[in-house]
Amino acid sequence: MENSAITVTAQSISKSFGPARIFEGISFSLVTGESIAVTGPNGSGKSTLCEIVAGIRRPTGGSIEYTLNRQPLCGDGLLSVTGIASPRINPYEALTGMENVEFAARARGIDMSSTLPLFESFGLHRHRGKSLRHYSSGMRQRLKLILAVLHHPALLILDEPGSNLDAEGRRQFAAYIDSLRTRTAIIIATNDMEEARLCCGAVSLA
Amino acid sequence: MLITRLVYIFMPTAVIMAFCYAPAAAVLGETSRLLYFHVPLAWISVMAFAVSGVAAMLFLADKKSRFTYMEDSFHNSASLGTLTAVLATASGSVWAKLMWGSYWNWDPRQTSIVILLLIYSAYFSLRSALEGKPARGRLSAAYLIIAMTAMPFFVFVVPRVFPSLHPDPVINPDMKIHLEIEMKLTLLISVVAFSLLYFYLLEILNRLSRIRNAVEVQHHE
Amino acid sequence: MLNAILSNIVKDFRIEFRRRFAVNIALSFAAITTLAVSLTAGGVRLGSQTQAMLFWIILFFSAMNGLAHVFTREEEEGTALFLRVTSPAAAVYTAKLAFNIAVIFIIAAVISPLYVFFLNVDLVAPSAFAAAVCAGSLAIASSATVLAAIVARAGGRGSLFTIISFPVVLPPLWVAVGATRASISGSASTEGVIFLLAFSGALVAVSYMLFGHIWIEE
Repeated sequence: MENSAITVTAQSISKSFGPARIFEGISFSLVTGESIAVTGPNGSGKSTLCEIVAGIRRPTGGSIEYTLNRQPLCGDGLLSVTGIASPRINPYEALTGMENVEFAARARGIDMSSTLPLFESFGLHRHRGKSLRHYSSGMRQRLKLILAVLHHPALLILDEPGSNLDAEGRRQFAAYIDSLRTRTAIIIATNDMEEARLCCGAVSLA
Repeated sequence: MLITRLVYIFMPTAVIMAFCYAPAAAVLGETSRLLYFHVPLAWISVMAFAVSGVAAMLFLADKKSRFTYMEDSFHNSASLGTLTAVLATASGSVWAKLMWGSYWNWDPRQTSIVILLLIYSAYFSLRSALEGKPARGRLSAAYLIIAMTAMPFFVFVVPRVFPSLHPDPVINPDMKIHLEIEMKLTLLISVVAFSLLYFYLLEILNRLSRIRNAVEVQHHE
Repeated sequence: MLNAILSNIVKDFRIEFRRRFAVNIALSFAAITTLAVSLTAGGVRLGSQTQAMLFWIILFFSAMNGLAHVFTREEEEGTALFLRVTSPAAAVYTAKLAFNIAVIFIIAAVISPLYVFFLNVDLVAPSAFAAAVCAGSLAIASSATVLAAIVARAGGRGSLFTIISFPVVLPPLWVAVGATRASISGSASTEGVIFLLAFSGALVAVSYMLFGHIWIEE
């Protein structure tokens, strides 16, 4: 999965919940090595757009197409090449940080030993054996980021990645994103100008 | 529309035939005229269930959003099915009182219609629990399909658990099919008339749902 | 796929083992109703039909207290989306089904001896009884798992799960009662067991087809 080239093409996608329209006419394209910042006020559908691109929600209208090494990609195949971190995606409280990572790694068929360096890169090494009930919100956010990147996804979607992180955490996160940049397509939904500046393109939701 | 005209022709014909054309049955006398209303109602309650099941499948199988209106169709069909099942149960138990001496006997067909009513009421409970949720259409469609899967098993089990009283069309006490030709014809016309009425009502309800949806969207904008 | 199924099963059992919520509630409920039945019977010996019927009523309602939990937990704790991005839908369903079969077997394994003991059931054919209980439990678990997923998405509180499960579970309940009565009075009912297995198979097959639609977010 390391050297795979992904393309994402979204054409005028729209989303409504019942009669309530969230957004419409969103189009963009993204390839490996590029990054897009999704910006917009609260309630404009940033998280929903992220979840649609990650394939866990269906758009109401429009289409998104994915290719991996020029092959069209859909269904469960999409699941294995995308990674997403979002405030709405919560790991298991009853498990430890390590056990959560173990669950995700095993489900994706990845060797556990390759995940250990990630705990170090995100500064969570000392806390990996603790139950999530004893995690602070910053530690939770770090764990979510680890869970999003542990299978080296070709498409990485981050919804408010910097929330609850301290200065050190933000620095570690930015450094990690820089190290991924050439081999990953990245979408960051944020209202933080610092984070938006990590990206080269932008989609803004009204 | 053709179906509207047909309903206006067939329904009065069926009613007139039931009361004037068909002769009264040998033992039951005039009460046998209930047959021409009870049988079509029971038939529609089952047909409505099948129609909502098929509409639910189309709704779920549809990837390109061509059949989004099916969500209203299967719900409206289930509503009509519930109404006719209640009417069939009521008319049936009146007749059962006259025939067998009590309103309720747990005969297999009575049992089946109770099960149908049970499924319908479970379906409506689920709908009301899903009120206002975007996943409502898909989840209630899935439930209808699961309930439909259980149906063949009911057909297999019910006659074994509950011994039958219903003769195939109950007409005479020796419990054999013994319908005069005029009665058969009347029954046929009446089943056709009621089926047409069902599709006519379904179409009206679907139109009503479309109007309601359009108004709701406008209200939001 | 197999990795994902195994990983989900391990995770579900690990969480349940730490909380023991589903099994504890279901078992306490089962024990209380068994005792309630035997106490209110006041030592009167019941006929085999009544014994078989009460046994399945107890098992059904105890199961209704435990089987929905495996899905409602995911929705209540906000972990459903995490599960959705890590595992394919079919793997999630398979793991939850395996978990629910284990839960109902535990419930049945606890209720059966209690029931036989407190209600003075004379088991003439214990192996036929065991076969009927296993096949009946399997049928309940295989129909209830997909319904639990629906209920969890609907908000999952109250007795909605029982209301929507009952009409679907009714045919296997009837047959299981018949097979159990036969085993109490000394005859094996292979036909009943085959019916229950066929029912489980049909419901699981339909569940696989529908689960993707139930599981995806709108």
